[in-house]
Amino acid sequence: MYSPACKVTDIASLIPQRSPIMMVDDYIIEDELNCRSELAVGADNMFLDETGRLSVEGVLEHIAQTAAAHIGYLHRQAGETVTLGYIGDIKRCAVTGPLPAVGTTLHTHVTVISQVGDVSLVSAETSAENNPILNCRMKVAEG
Amino acid sequence: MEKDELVKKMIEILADEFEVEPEVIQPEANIKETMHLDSLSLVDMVGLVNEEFGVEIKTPDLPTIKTFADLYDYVFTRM
Repeated sequence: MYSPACKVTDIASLIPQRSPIMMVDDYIIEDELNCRSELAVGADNMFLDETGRLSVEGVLEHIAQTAAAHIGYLHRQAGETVTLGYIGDIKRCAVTGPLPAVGTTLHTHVTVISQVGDVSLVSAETSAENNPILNCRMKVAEG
Repeated sequence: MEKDELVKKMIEILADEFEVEPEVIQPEANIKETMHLDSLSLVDMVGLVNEEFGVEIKTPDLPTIKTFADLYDYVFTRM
């Protein structure tokens, strides 16, 4: 069903956000439970803080869009309608490194831990330039 | 893992995760009422069981798991 490291090119069909709010450049599916994504932090990013770095909220939005894209992709693969994903909850959020500056590329790994109905619990780790910067658990609710 | 050991560990991790006293987790107690679970936090319990015991609770099975005894039986028979 999933070829190794299958890159999904039509991300816009999986999440409703568009530039400049779209926070996923590349989305790569590893298997049903795991995916990776990338985002190059641009100077026009709406989540930059006053120091020119991507805010924690920006990183979390990037993670949420990655998770929502993955869940949407799984629905599409199952022949189901792609629904919108909303952040339901964020737990165990740890900022472990300096927030990324403009020009940095974020690398994120999302793992689906469990799913109950329309709610998915995922864990996520984001790094930049080989340095971990944030990890968390997030619930994504479909609506 | 013996069932007694599973029950002890289950009580420990559930009490910690959902911030309830271990004493309230009694075999015949209702899970949702005891741990104040809603539709969002239910997925936490399912994830916890998956991570700690390697057992995936299928969504269609959830309505059959009403009490902690039901949960222990479900997990123990699938480990």
